[in-house]
Amino acid sequence: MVFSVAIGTAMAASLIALSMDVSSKVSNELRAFGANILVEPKIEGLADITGQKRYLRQDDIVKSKVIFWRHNILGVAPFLESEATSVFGGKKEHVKLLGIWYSKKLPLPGETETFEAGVKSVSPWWNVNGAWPDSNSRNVAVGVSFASRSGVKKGDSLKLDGADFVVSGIVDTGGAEDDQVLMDIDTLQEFKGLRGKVSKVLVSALTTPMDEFAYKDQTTMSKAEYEKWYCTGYVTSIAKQLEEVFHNSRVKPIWQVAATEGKVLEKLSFLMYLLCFISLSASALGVSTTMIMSLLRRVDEIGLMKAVGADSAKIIAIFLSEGVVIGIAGGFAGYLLSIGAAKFIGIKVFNTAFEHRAVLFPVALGSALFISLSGMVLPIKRALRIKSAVVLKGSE
Amino acid sequence: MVFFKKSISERKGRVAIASFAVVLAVTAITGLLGITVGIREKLGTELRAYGANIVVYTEAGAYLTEDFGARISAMSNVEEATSQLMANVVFENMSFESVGLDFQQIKGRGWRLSGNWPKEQGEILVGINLKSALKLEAGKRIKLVGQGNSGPGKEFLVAGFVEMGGNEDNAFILSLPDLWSITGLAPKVSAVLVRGMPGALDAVVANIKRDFKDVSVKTMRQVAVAEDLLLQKIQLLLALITIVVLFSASVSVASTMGATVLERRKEIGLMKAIGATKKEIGLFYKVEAVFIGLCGGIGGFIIGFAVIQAVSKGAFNSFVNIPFYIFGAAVSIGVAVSVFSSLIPVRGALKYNSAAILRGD
Amino acid sequence: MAFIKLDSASKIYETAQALRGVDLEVEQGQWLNIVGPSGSGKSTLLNVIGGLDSLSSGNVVIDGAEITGLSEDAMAVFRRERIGFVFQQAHLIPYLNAVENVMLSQYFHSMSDEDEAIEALKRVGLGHRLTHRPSQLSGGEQQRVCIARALINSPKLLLADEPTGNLDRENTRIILELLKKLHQEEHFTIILVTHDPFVSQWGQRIITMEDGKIKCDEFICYL
Repeated sequence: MVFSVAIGTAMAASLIALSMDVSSKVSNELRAFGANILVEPKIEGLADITGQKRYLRQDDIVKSKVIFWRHNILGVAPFLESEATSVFGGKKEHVKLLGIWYSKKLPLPGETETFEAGVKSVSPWWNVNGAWPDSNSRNVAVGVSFASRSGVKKGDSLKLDGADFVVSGIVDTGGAEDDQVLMDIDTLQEFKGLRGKVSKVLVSALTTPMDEFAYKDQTTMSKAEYEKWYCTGYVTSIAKQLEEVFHNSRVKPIWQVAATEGKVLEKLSFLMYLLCFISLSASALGVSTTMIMSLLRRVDEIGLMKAVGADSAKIIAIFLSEGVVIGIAGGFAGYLLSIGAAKFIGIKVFNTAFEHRAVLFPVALGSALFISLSGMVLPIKRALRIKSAVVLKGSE
Repeated sequence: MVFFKKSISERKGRVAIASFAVVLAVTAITGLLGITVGIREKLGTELRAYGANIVVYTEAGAYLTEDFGARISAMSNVEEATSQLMANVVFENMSFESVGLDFQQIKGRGWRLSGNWPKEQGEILVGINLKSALKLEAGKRIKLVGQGNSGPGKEFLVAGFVEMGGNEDNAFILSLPDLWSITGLAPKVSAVLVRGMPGALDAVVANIKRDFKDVSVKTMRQVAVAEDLLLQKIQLLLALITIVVLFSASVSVASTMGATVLERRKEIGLMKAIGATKKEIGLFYKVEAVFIGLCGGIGGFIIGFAVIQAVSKGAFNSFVNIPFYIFGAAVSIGVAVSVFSSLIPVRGALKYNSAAILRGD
Repeated sequence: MAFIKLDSASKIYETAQALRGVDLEVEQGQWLNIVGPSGSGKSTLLNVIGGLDSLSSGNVVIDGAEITGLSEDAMAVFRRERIGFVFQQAHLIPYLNAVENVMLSQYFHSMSDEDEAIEALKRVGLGHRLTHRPSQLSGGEQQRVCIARALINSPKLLLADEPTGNLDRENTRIILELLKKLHQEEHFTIILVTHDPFVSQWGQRIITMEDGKIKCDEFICYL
């Protein structure tokens, strides 16, 4: 009996633990879909779109780790765009150049730690056959489409605007980069005389799913509302905070990613809560059936109790106190089991254990009591109907 | 056979409770199995908003024709295929990028819109970056001319502004026929964006390559890889939850069935005394357990089916297809759990000395 | 050779010794009553003969078959072929009626035959209560159903453990008359355990058990 309550409780508690945490876990997984925030130079006039290029300051990148939501910033990758004329095997072609960091350690201001910036942190699906270009030599990597079109291979020498570069690898991203020539940002800055400048920065951030409040126009919010919005990890408020630290920038959520993420998370948590509810009711009913069965075995005992003068209140009290004992014992055992189960599932699925939350203990105990006491209701009703004379005579 | 029939029909209450325990177990399991199987499709639909995972295009400067889209969307494992035309248009003597597409197909795909969706041809969307740069307002009428086309151009109503965080933010977005009419490019398109079922992308790419010559097909790794990973994880998560629930439900069934067998200990003792072998006694209870398992399994499947549909309706606003094998699985689990649950206590009861059982209490 | 032969039969339970080297021979067709105070080992002796309990040492031969050391299942088969049991408590299946309870025994023996079962119930005088449930029968009637059940497979040996222990004098007499008729007409070998002096006078031989041993073995005048 205690065992079945314990198992029911363990299931309920681990499902609740899962439900509480699944959002943040999946949210982490969803970062695999790439950056959800784009930092661009501010657009002030028409010339910023059609005319000369505008740039962000490379020095501002580390500032993304000093904003209020800095711990939610999982990835930052700057890009510098340029163009050049390439010559390979006598064939001339106009190509786009893209300056990147694959994985670069940046010092955090005022701290001894460093953080890692670069496409590895926002676009984990980028692949290279060979090596990523590094900042110390005149290395480039070429996109896979460009490579197949022009016949460039790893180790070949490629002329860009008359200068010689060595192809360190062939890059496959499944995006526009497959047609481009990639090099380290520092190399490209030096090559094109754009020291300290980047074209755009992609940011991958853990966010709170957008709700109705988040979609409200910030300009019409009251001071308190604005405060609340600013201090919630919405993709828009994180974007706002980034805009404040990137000089002369405009920061936008990449809506296709950000909005879908919110939807998926919302559905998943709803699903998990439903599952929780269903499993909890199934387990409560299951325990109830067990209790009814065990009561049927105790008909004699109850008949005897009645015969020696136990009134309904006494019988109810006996059953309830038994229910409480079973519930507490089952709750303890179930809580311990659920820690293991949640940990196991977390590690199996997400490689990290589900957080062990103290709040689960009262929840486990409460649900165990609920399960065992609600399981008692029917047996008690039946017990009260038992006629002691019939039972003690021993006939069916 | 009359004994089995009687042992069930004359003990309706107990059989009902035991069956009910099985029903609960099978309901939970059916529901979870159904969701585990259906989640791929359902979340896949949600993930559609991440956009196409396969792009079909051709070399720069050349075009595909519009019928490609329809032909590709008719292929297996393709959820949808949309055609897009990229062309430059001239507005007030300046050249801008423009995209021609079907507005209906991009609705609800994560496009952030201020203003209205264009209702018909003649209405356009404008990238958010152009709003301030060109000082445009929703409701304004503007004239666009196809670049490199001698035509007179056309006037359009600005329905709203879109913010994507992508190139579209710097472009005019027109319906495909509108863009054709000012550029004279009908029925050409630049690319077909294909949404293949996650997990079947390689097959889709192979099919497109086989059916269409001289096109380039590219898997959008960003979307494809992430989707697959996510769906796999969620399925694994649900599968593990299913195991946890299955275990818990089995324990509940086992303790219920265990209680029914315990009260029949005397019966078992008597059968032994009148000369029934262990096998015969086991069979007697197995038949009953199979019956309870069947009833519980079928009942549980029906309820579980209803529950999944309710959950699916609630979570994804659509029903889910339950493959037939789930029914088989549900009933087998019901029978297995019930037989297994009664086997243990029967085994236990068989060990007792029947003389002691028959004499005592 | 004797129908039943026990050779220095001993049975040791965890806490006590119930049989201490009992030697006993019973001829076919004999009606033997076992009496003695509680704890003297009389029920153990009966159970050992019926194969419901196994010996710690010594052996039992019944009808020329050595049953010591047989597996439980082999014992079960042996029981259904040759032995009929009647207990103090009726042990009828509550959800089966009188005929069906008798048929259950046939089912485990060979094949259920309703006519035969009805015939058996008529022989014990219950022709009018065939479809009653155990709960609808009196104690004496329940015990008669048990006798019908014990007889249905035509055993050679009938074992009864306090068959009248729960019955009043009137019903006791009915049961004993029934056993007497079966003994005389069909030549059953009957072994009956009782502590009731009235009951023990029905039969041909009385052995008195004390402390796991046969203290007294006497042939009596059959009523």
